[in-house]
Amino acid sequence: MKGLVELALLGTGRGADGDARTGTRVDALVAAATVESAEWRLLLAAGAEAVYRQAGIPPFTSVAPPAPARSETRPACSPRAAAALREVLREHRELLPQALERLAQMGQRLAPALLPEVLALKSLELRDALVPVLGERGVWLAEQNSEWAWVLARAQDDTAERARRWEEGHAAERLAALRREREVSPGRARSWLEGVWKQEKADQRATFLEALEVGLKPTDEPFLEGALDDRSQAVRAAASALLGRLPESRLARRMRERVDALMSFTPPATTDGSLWGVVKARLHGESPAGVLHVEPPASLPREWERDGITARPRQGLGERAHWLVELVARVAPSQFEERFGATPAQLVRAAAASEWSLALALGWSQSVVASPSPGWAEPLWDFWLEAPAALTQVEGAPASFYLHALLAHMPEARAEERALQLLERAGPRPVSLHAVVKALPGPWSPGTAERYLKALARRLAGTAADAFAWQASLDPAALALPLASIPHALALIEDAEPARLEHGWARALHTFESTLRLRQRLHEEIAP
Amino acid sequence: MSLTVDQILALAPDASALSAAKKVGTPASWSGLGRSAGALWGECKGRATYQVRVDLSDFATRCSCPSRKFPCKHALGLLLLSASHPAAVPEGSTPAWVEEWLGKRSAAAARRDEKKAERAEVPVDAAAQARRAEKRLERVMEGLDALELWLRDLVRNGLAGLEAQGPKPFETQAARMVDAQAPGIASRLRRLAQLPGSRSDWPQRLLGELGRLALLVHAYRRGDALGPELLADVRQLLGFTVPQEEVAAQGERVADDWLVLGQWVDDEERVQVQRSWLRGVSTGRSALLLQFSAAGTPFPEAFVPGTHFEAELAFYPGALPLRALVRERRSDAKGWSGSLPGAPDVEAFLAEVAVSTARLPWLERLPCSLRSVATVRHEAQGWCVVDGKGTTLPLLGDSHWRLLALSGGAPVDVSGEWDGERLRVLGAVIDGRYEVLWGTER
Repeated sequence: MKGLVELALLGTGRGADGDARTGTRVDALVAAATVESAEWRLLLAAGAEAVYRQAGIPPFTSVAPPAPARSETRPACSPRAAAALREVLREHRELLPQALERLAQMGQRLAPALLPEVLALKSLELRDALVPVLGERGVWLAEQNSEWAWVLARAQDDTAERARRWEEGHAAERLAALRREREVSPGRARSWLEGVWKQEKADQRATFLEALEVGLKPTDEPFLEGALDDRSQAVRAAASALLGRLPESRLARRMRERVDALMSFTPPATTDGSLWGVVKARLHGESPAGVLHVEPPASLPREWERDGITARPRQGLGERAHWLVELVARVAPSQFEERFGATPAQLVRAAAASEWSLALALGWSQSVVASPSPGWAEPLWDFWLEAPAALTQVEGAPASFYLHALLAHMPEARAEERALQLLERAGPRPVSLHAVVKALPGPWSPGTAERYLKALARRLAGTAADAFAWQASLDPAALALPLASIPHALALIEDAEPARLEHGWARALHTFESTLRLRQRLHEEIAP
Repeated sequence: MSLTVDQILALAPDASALSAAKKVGTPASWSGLGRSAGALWGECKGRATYQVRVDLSDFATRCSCPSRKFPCKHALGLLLLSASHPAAVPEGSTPAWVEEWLGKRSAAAARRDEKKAERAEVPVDAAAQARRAEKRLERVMEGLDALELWLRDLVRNGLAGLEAQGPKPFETQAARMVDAQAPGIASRLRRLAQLPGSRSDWPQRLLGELGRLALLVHAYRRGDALGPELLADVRQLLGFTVPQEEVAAQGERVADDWLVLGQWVDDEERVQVQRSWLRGVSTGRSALLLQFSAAGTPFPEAFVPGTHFEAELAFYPGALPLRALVRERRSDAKGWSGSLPGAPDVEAFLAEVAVSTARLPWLERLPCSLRSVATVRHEAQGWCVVDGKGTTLPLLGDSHWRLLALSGGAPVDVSGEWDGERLRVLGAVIDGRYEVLWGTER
């Protein structure tokens, strides 16, 4: 046949003479046909040969039949649960973490038909949640496709596997391996990083260095101190931030000395709390919160810069204020309590009255978000809520950022209370309701859920100017409302008669409803 | 019977109807829900309240909404609801508005049959018809002569040059064949347009296809020598259509319990072509039901993969009669359970391929159902199914991942269509239940 194909490719007109032969029984048939044109004969022969080949396709034999999947240890979810899960996969991905968690809790696994779709998921967090519910079938299936090898790697969570991923994986995998190894053996993880330090690009070095926040220990100090002399600004800043969180590090000590040199605190005069004390303080013009005296340097000292404090401020902040932020952020907030003998609330209040209020609040807020600092999140949140908008016009909109970021660092009930205050408040808010509601971990307490729904009902009844802000809060709320509150929410939607509402409510409520119903279905269908 | 979600998905006219259907597929959107042995019904609250009915015997639907999609989102929603919340659709006595529609449907079917019979009896102007036929014959013959010249030129100048020319030469030639009233040839040519350069073995494949085209021309010119059946095939391949009435009246009739083995939809030039492959449970006959849809219009009838129904089919004439139409349905569609009627092993199926190809050399596709095959990767062939004797059949597309997931490597019955080189798996029986295997992308 190759002869025929070559002849046809080249063209019979190019001198390539030769009779059209296939070397099969077809040739006899073609010979018997009375056809004058050589080209036509070639075509007929090729056609007959194609038919001949199709009819006589030879059976192939396989190398070896595959070993079937091992038998399962946990039951598959019901077909109806599988249908609900498929809806989650196709249209409500945001529910996937909850659904997988529920499945794992019930000791069940995914229906096999869902496996190819979930194995193709890329998110590392989802993959972690998937491993327990893949079942033997999922692991077996992953063995058949090299693109799904992540399952096997995760199932086999040991140092050797992590070392392999650290050495061979792509950036996200390497980072995940490094962070995981930090949990198990911080010293070894650090030595991995030291081993490749010189070869990595600057932004990679900074990202990997930040991973040392996991299991951060005084023994990391020499390496971090070395990184302070790195060429890259981002690396120096990351090293400096980590050292600031090691209270016994030399850098932290230097920072504390700097704070001592330029900050002092006059406690409120009325330490006895008596009425007379208050009056006396007022008479002397003293604040009941105490006074913070702050005097940032006029120019950036060379040693500060070496310690990772950047010279240039971000937009909206003066140079001196910026240096102060950087300094304060590198001292654990508890150190301020200790040094000035005051509570976080007192210090934040005193800061609010000072000329440097924004810089102090920024510095402390950065610390609180980066590492646990009990007692600080609430006063700082209050500061950001009450701060005049003109004051917080800084790049990165700190008020709106910290008003939701700090919620995650408060006791749950306090966070819920503060978020509700914002929700129930009329008029413009310095932060999006979406971000606030999203920051509250679900499921909410019943009381919070009821208050949220009541506030929602009020918005639906009136013609609220903040309709869009409220609608944006529905998405995160649909994920976090406790199951017991869902019927109430559904009744509320029904009463609202979405079709009659304006300002996009119909669509928003429809999505809200379908998410809630799907959650109910998941709960009912994924059951013992 | 109740359909699985996959089977319902297969009924949807397009993705947007489907996602709209999911939105109304919750109990809250409905009132007056109910079901009987033969029907589902309910009232759906949208902008207005719509009355929705589904005839379970053939999954025909009717809704009072103004949508031009069919089935509309309400009807699909009702089906989805009955699958996901069976308790929400309780058994009940059929309301008058549903009864009335079911009655009208059966009356309409009876009328259609009568009309068909009448039309078959209407005397035609035989002389005029013969003149038209002769005229067309002339044009086709001229067209085929031109086609031969073009094909010979291609071979004389060498196929290698085609790679640089793109689809243009094929499209031009296809347009000529449309003018010559040989649309069958035109669509064959259009299918070849993308072939040059598309895969490493394109020259061999293209030459084979051009060769078959030459054989078709050759065969048509020597029609007298072919025998009536093969001539009927050749005429249909050129694009002479056989009227449905003629098939219904004169075609070979086979009554059986017909299982829908699988279904596939191809997009062709703004037209969607749906192929439903059927297998007669007692006769073992294969049948192909073709339906067409232009611009999102519905396929006229619902054939749900994994269901079976008793019916009399009428076959189009040919040496290997596969294409058929449903002349009369004699029972409701029911869900299939248990193993599939089919070839016991790959060799038996390949023998069937050989016989079928011998009877119809232009055979494009053949339905395939295989008992007890596992899924395996073959070094040379890629993904395959393998039977108990270790013989493999290569697979088309990527449905093997779902097949693997569902079977876990254990042998299962599969069904699909064979395109002469590879098998496209369309369904499989897992734990006694038919699962649709295409449609992961829908």
